[in-house]
Amino acid sequence: MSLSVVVYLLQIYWPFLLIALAIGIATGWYSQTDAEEGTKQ
Amino acid sequence: MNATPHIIESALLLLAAFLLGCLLGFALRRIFPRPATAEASIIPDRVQPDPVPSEPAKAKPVLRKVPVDEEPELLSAPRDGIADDLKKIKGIGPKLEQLLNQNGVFHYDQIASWNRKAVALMDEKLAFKGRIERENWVAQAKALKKAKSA
Repeated sequence: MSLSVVVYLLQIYWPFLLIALAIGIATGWYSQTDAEEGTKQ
Repeated sequence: MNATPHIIESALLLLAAFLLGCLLGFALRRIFPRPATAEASIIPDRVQPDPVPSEPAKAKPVLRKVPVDEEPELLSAPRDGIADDLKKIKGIGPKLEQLLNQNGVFHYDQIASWNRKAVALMDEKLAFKGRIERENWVAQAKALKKAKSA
């Protein structure tokens, strides 16, 4: 996995990476329960 | 650059993006906690006071959605001598109706007024094995009560 391949993929497939990032953010956001949040405060 | 599909690299990049997003989402949630809503206030964990009370004498008034008297209202006989047809509640047959009557439940409004504690009590008392909640008797009784009074 060379750097040029990574750069190439980033250039071509960046919308898909953005979607994966958005899904990841949503997953991370909703992975915390209200109870966990409550105990923290 | 040739256009050969770099499947492994693509998958790894997608995975990396997803994991990065997870971390970002987790961190964002911690930084910007969701404001408490009215719905959240009925969650028992939030209603419960702190385990270590700082001032026991000045205990904060606890918001209780359920009344203090959690015992279900039971009657020795139906009001005005006429009992409601409890069989109209889906899940209650003649036998269960008889059992309920024997235990002081004659009217829709009695069942409609049951809270979680009362439901649990009656469920245990009459060995209904969770039927009351599963078959949603309280909501059905509320609807029947409403229809009766209309």
